[in-house]
Amino acid sequence: MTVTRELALAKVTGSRPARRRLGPAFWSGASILGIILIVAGWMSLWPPYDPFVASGPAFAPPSLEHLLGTDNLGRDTFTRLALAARTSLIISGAAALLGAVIGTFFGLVAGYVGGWVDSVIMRVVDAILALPAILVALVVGVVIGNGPWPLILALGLVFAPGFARVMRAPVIALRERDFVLAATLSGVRPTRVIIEHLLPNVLTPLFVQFASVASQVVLIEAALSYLGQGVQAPEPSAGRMISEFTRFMQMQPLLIILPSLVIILLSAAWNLLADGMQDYLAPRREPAFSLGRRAQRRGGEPTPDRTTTSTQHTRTEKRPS
Amino acid sequence: MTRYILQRVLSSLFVLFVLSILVFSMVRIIPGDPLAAFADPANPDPAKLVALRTELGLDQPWITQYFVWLLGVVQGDFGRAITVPGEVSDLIATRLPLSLTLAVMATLFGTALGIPAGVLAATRWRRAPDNVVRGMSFVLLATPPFVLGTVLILVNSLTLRLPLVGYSGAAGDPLRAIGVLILPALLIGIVLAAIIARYTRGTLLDTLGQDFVRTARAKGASPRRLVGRHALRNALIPVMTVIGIELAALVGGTVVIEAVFSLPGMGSLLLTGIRSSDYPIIQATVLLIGVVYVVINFVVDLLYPLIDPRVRVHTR
Repeated sequence: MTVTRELALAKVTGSRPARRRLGPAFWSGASILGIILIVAGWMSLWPPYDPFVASGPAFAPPSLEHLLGTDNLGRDTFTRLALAARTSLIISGAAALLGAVIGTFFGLVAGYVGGWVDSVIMRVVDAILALPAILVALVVGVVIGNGPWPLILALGLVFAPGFARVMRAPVIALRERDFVLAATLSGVRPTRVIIEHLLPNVLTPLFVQFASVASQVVLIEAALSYLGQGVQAPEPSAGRMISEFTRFMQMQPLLIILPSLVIILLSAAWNLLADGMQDYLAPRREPAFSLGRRAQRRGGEPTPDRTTTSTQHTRTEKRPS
Repeated sequence: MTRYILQRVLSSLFVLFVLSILVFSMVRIIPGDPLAAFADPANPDPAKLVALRTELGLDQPWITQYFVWLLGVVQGDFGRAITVPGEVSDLIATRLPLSLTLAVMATLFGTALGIPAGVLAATRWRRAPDNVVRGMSFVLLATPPFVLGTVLILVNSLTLRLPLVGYSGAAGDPLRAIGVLILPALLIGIVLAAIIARYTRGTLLDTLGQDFVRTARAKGASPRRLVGRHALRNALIPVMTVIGIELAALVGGTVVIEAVFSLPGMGSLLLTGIRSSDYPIIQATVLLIGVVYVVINFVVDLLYPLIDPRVRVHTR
C-alpha cells in the first residue's frame, strides 16, 4: 500500500520517491551480532584454551597469554566468555524463532478466522501474558528440566502469545482488503490465503518483534542462569558467572564487569536491530515544532511523510526484572 | 458505560479462570514427589506415605483436587505448605506487602524519572537532550537490574562500604523497611524509567506531529502551553497503560533483585517453592501474581473512560 501511495505522489509532484533504506541502527546491531557470532564461532571451533580446565594461575590479570585474565579456577576468561556469548546468542535466536512460529500461527488464525476462535485464542493469550515472563520460564523450566534446550522451549512458549498479539492486529486490517477478498472469492483455500497473501504482508512487524523478543530472551536467560535455574555448570554462562564471582569481586572486579558487558552488548545489539526495522516500518512524522533553538534540517532531504498509521507500535514489552 | 464495565469484568474473570487452570495443571506436571521431603527417601514408610497423601488430598482425581483447591483459594485458603511449616496464606501475608511496596516504589521512581525525560527528549527532537535520553535509555534497556545491583554492590564494597544488602531487623519497622527498599527500588525504577521515557517520547512525538498541534501553534499558543495543556494529555494515555502493566509485572517480576539484595518477597518465596517442588507454594504465588496483574489492568481499563472522553463515546 505504501509503495503505491508513494508512487502516486511521485507522479503528481514529478519527483522520484526516496527509497526507504534500513538505517545505521539496523546495520550496527547486525554487525555487533555478526562479530559476536564470528568470535564465538572461532573460539568454540579452535579454542586457545580448554574452557573447563585450569590453564594458568587463579585470578590472573589480563595479559598477552590470557587476554582477559583467568577466573578463580585459573580458567581462561576470554574463552569462557566467548562460549557464554555463543550459548546466549543461540538460545535467544532459537527461542525467538520458536515463539515466532507458534505465535504467528495462532495470530494469523485468530485474525483471519475471527469469531469465537479469535476470542478463545486471544483470551488464552491474555492469560499467559498476565504472568511475568520470568515466572513462567522458571516454572516451565522446572517441569521440563534445566539446560539450553529446555530453556529454548520454555522461553519460546513464554513469548509466543506476544507474537500472536502482534500478528493478529495487521491481519484484521488486511482481511478486509480487496486483494484478500478477491482471493477468497475466487476460491483460494484459507490456508493458502494465509500463507501467500497475509503472511508476506506482516513480515516486517514479525521481524521487529523477533529481534525485540530475542533481546528480552538474552536478559531472561541471564537472570535465570543467575538464579541457578538456567544454563548449568560447568557450561559457561554470563548470568551464572556474575552470581558465582560475586564472592570474588574484590579480588578481581573484571570477573563481574566482563560478563555484565557481554549481556548488555548482546541485548543492545538485538534491540538496535529491532529499532532499525521499526524505523523502516513506520518512519516518524516530524513534530510541529521543537523547543529552544531551531532544529537543523538535514541537508534538503524531504521529510518522510508517515505512510502508516500510529497503531503500528509493533513491539510488546515483556521484561524480566 | 455499564456495558463497558460489564464487558471488562467478564473478560477479567475469564482470564482468571484460564489462569487458574494453567497454574493448577502446570504444577501437576512437575516431576519429583513432594512427599519425598517428609519421609526418608531410602526407606519410606508406606503406611505413613498413604496417610500423608490422603491428608493432603493427593490421592483424589485431578478434577476433584482442582475444585477443592479453587474453593479454598476463593476463601483465601491456599492449603498447607509441604516443605515449610505453616499455612501458605500466612507465608504470603508476610511477603506480599514487601513485594507490593517494592513494586509501587519502583514504579513511582520510574514514572518520576521517565516521563520528564521523555518529554524533554520529544520537545528537543534530534538535538542534544534527545540524544542523551535516547542513548541512556537504550543502554539501560539492555541492562538487567541484577547487573546494575551487582555492579553497585561491587563499587560500594571498594569505596564507601555502606550496609546495602539484607533485610534482617527491618521486619515490623515500616520506616526502616522502606529505607532498605529504596536502593533496590531505585535500580528497578531506573530501568523502568528507560522504558517509560522511550514510550513517552514516542507518543508525544506522534501527538506533536498531528494537525491540531500545528493549528494551535499557528493560532499563537506558546510551546509550553501546547505541550502541557494539549499534547501531553493526549500522549500520556497509552503511557499510563504501560505503567500499569509494568507495575503489575513487577509484583512477581522482582525475583532476581530480591535474590541480589536477599529480600523476603514473593519472588524469593516462589524460588523456594520451585527448588523444593512445593506445589501449594508455587500455585499460590503464581496465581496471586497473576491476579494482581489482572486486577491492576482492570483498574487501568476503568480509568480510561475517566481520562479520555473519546473512549466513553465509543463504548456507549
